[in-house]
Amino acid sequence: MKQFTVGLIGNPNSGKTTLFNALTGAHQRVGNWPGVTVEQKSGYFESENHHVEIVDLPGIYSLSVTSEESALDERIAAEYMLSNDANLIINVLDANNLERNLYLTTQLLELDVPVILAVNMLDIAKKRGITIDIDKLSNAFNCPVIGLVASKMQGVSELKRNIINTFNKPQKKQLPFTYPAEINQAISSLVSEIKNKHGYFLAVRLLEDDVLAKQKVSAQVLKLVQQYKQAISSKLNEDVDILIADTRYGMIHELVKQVVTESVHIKTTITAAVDRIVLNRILGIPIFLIVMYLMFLFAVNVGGILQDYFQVGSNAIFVHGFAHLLSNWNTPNWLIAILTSGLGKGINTVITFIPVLTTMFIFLALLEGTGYMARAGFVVDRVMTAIGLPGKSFVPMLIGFGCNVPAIMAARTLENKRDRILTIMMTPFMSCTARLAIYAVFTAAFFPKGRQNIVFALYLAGILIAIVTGLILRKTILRGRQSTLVTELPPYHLPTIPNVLMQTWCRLKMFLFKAGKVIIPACVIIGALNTINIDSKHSLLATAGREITPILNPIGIQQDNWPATVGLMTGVVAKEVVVATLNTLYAVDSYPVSDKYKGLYGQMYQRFDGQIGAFAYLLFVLLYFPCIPALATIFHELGWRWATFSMFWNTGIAYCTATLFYQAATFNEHPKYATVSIITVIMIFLSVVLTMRWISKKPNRREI
Amino acid sequence: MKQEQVLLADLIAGDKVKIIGFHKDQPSYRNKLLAMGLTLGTEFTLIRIAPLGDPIEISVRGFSLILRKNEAKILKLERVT
Repeated sequence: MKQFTVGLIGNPNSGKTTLFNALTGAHQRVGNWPGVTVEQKSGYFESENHHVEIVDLPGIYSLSVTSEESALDERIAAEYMLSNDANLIINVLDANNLERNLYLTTQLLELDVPVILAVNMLDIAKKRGITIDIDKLSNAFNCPVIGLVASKMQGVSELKRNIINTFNKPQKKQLPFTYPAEINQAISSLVSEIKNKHGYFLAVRLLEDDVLAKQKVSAQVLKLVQQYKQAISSKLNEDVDILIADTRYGMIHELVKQVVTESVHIKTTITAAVDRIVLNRILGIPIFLIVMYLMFLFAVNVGGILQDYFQVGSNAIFVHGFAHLLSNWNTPNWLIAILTSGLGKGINTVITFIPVLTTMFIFLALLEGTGYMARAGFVVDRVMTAIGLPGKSFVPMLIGFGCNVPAIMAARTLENKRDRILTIMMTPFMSCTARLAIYAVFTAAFFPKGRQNIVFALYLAGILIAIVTGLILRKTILRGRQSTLVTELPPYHLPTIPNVLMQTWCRLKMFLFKAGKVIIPACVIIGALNTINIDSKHSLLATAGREITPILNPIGIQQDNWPATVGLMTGVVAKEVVVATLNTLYAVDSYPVSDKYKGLYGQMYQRFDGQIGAFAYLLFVLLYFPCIPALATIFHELGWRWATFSMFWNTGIAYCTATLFYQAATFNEHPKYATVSIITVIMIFLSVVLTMRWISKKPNRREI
Repeated sequence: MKQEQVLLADLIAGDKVKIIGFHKDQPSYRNKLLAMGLTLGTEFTLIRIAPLGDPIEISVRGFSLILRKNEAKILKLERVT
């Protein structure tokens, strides 16, 4: 059996993913591109005694690698092309927008590798009265062109046949245009200097100031390029990159005139009609808010109800059932305790997330698949640019109010790495529904009147701290220009159910297996610490909590309220655990309370310093340590550095904020102590920020 | 008759303009625009302005593109009538 590799490339929204699924079916793998956390999908098909490996490349408009960080996708694609891993390239083109899609084609044809053009979405084109002369297109480039409707599997088997034919008998493709004579001359002399299989491609890229191409050639060649560029622009009175783009698009425009015929001229498309309402100056924002509201309604109602079943069911199986099973096997009690409250509870935690994640991911896939995501970005861009982020980052942050985990994963929809990091670092401050459960208990105990105001204040505090974090990061370790906005608004599109499900499953799988690998061991450690007793009454964790309680004095936690400290420690698994821990520990370490307040509320009332102490604690709970599932997701998306940063930054800022609030609010009771604490906290905060600034200014700092 | 240059910020929905040049700064942004087909002599129509006044949606070479006013300043434009 002969084996070879095919790279699949095309513009975003050209139906590339649909074609990839059509070609490979169930034979797919997901991995990462070397050195970056960008998903790489690959798969294969077998036909006519050939094993054909297909690599799905990022959706891009151009292979130019610019200095902007958003050029990561372009860099991945260009690196792949230059690596010679592919024996053949399939370029997917949207039949409805051939002109812009062919720009990438003109770049691909300059590479020394056979190319097949796959003209996709012919059905939609037909509906719009567009016909494409496939033969003429094929003649122009002298390469095979296949017409397709990938979503209906039309043309897919012909494409497979053609892939194998072309691999065995590649045609000599051609560029149906010539650059101005001066540029041509420069290219041919550069080609002889570069000495690379893809010399022609590199030469053109160099003249266009491509960052990647510059890294691939010697300093001598670079000097030559500079000379040519100056000579050409002084002679032709225009910069070389403008002239090259002009030549390409000039040729494409003429070619499209010959190849594409529009039989009926449709005045307004459905997309244009819908956008007149959806992007309307007055209705645009209300519609955006309604869509987001529907997402929450769906996630809370459908996901929330199922969550209870998943929680109770998996708890019964993995915690209680597991314990029962182990005790039947005469396992020692301490081991049962560790296994069930560690391993069992860890699995239980992961499983509990499934319903909410699934509903959020389905909604996210719909937002992206229909084309609304880009429009949401358009509507709220202005709001987000104020804090240096693109409009699209609004959606992940909003999802954060439901649950931080899908929010962090949704940040993948952002092209620019810096935007993605900023969004992910800000997301944990969005107060999720798990934290709402804690507010509910505390406000019921301490703020019987005006509960909603307290909860609202906490949400606002979270948003405020997120913005402060974003601004500080942007001025220190994430310095740089804001990413520019050049985004296509794709026509509306009804996503197919398999595509939505596939995308949902991919994301869910990533959480279950990749994040699960971090979550479960962390739960085992905390579970073990929580069950190993060193004296008859208290676990290791409880003892440790009691020991470190003095650290929390500035936020108003006194020694007798050590269960509050332990609550914070167990709360890292999932924040709602805080309340359960308080409940358990107060029962063990009971305290005489007046008849007026009994049970959990009574204990809380006795031990927290009234409303001020309770609010300070809630502030801390809101801001500190992202829960382990969130942290595991950050770790998977951005690596351990950022996960560690998030851990320390959030806990630090929680400590500072809660201290400032508590000390300011109780200033008159102990002015000296308050003054010292406030000054200390501010000094620590400032020194951390200054250190971050200093790190960012070091000339040889590591790339993030 | 020579057409007067117009600024992107002064356009209203439905206006049609032609690209007559680029300002020198922002080479990587310019590169992105060129790849999207905003080359010399290309005409485009302003479709709408976002609810909050920025960004803008334009129609160029048969598709819709969104740009921020402040960034797209690098385009030198003239009105097409």
